[in-house]
Amino acid sequence: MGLIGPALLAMLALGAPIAVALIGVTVAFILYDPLLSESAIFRSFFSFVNKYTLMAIPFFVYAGFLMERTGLIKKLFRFADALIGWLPGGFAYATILAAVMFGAISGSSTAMAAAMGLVAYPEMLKRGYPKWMAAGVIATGGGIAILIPPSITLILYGVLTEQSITKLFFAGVTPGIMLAISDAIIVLTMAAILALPASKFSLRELWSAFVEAVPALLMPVIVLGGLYGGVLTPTESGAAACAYAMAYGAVALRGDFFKEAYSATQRAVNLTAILFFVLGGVGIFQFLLANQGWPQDIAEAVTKMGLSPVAFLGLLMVVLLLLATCLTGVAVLVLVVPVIYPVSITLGIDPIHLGILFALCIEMGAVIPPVGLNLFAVSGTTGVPVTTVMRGSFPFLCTDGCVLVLCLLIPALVLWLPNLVVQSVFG
Amino acid sequence: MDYVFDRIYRVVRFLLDDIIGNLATLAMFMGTGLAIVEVFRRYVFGVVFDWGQDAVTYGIVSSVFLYFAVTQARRSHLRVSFVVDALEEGGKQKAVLLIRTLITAISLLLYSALATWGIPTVERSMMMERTTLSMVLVIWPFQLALVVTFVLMAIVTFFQLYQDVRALFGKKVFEWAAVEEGIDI
Repeated sequence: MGLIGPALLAMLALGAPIAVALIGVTVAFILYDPLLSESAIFRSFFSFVNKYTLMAIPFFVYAGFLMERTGLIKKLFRFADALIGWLPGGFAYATILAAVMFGAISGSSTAMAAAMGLVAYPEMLKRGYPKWMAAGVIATGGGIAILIPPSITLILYGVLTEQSITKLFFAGVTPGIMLAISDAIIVLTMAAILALPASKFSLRELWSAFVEAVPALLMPVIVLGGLYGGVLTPTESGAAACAYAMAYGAVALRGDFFKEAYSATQRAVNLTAILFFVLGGVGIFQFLLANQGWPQDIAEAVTKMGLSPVAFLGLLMVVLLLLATCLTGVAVLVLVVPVIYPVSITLGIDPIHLGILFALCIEMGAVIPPVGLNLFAVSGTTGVPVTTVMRGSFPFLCTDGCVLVLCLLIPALVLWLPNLVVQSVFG
Repeated sequence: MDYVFDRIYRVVRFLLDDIIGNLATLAMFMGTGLAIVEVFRRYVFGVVFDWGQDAVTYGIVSSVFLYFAVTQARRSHLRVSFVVDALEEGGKQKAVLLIRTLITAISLLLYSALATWGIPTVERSMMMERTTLSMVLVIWPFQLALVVTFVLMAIVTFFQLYQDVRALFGKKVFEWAAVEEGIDI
């Protein structure tokens, strides 16, 4: 039985699909024990993914793809540029602001980074920004989307730990804003050092960009307003986002809408299939964990070591960042959460706080080599070498690290908003 | 032999990419439409279908299940690839092929086993007339969709194994079917 852990690691390292690795070790365990039934494997897979809460993922992904096909990003981008592009290094701020706004719609950091790479990068070069900085801003700006609702990462964490997704969404707001501010500070510093250009402020341009972007800006209002007002559940909010995206697409694209909608639907099914296959594997793996008692063993070891919750979290963050350098965010989440979550609960760590720390590590992992999906997404769409994107991302990575440490040491930064709003709305 | 396998695999891929892929896309579209209708009915008229939430969940999940076979055919399931990438960059092509063949063989075994183990579950659900949470929809068609998915995944993985084994012996087959497609983001 002691071979299960190494076997899992070996299968993962050899490039087996994550779900295959998880299912493979569980099957080996069940076949070894004559008291366990094989049909439990099938049932675990089936029941773990058939949850109404999980439907929020395909809905938000779908809404994001639909909005992307309607040229929404360009409109948001133009508005962000008109709003703050006149500041020194303003176009970089505008890119980050557009990333945050689009992140609030699609919930996908990598999709956002790839899309912004196409829209923002050529414009930044045209305005005299160095390649490394332009690529770095785009790769890192997308990371904030992981914390801004509706974050797919937070929905997944909520499903894996059976925590309130609405509460997690609220908890992500303050760290998300902190990341945006810290990124702005970096841009300001770079703008001063590199003497970056600023465009002129025009009230007429701002008004025209605002009018054009109003339908796009209404989307987060509907999605987040429904959630914040306690009116819609996250899944209903996702469905409402889809309804709005479809209505908007039908008006904006008219005859071309169905062609674009088909492509968006297919991409949404594809991404959901990739995620749900891994989740099915986790459903089966949890069966193994329950029988093996790994979380209990770890909790016992941590207690014996006399680690305080903060020390444990610090250690966990180091491990997560190391894992994030070679695993994708979803992989980190599905492999670590089922093992570590029960341990954290034993140590009295707030599950919402833990979820946000996970998201922050995953956000940083998206720009840490060698995997860092955002690095590759930006490199792929801009044609800039990955090493150049890494160079541009590094200063942002440092400030992100500061935000992570602050959130780790001061849980109130994360918890004040969900405790204030969710309790007052839901009693 | 290669020619026969090529023809059969083309039929399988046509079934997956063009028929099942489109059916799953349509089911996703319809499931989303039903979810929107349910939200509208609930907040405007204050009523919902008893089976609405279950139909949305099981309908969308079943369409996603079927799409698993399409993503398997495209080899785009989420994996950790840095070791294999490092080997590939280091010119260890033979090792990469060997690892890929091993993983494909394990995948084939697992998908076949899951399909086999799923059949008794479907039979029991049919016999006991098990329903979803709403107590309105019977659950076995959705479980059957997952069994069919694993069967399709096993079939497609069999052809991928054939492709990998032939590659090990220096022979290229199914050149139209990419070995590494990665994730569509």
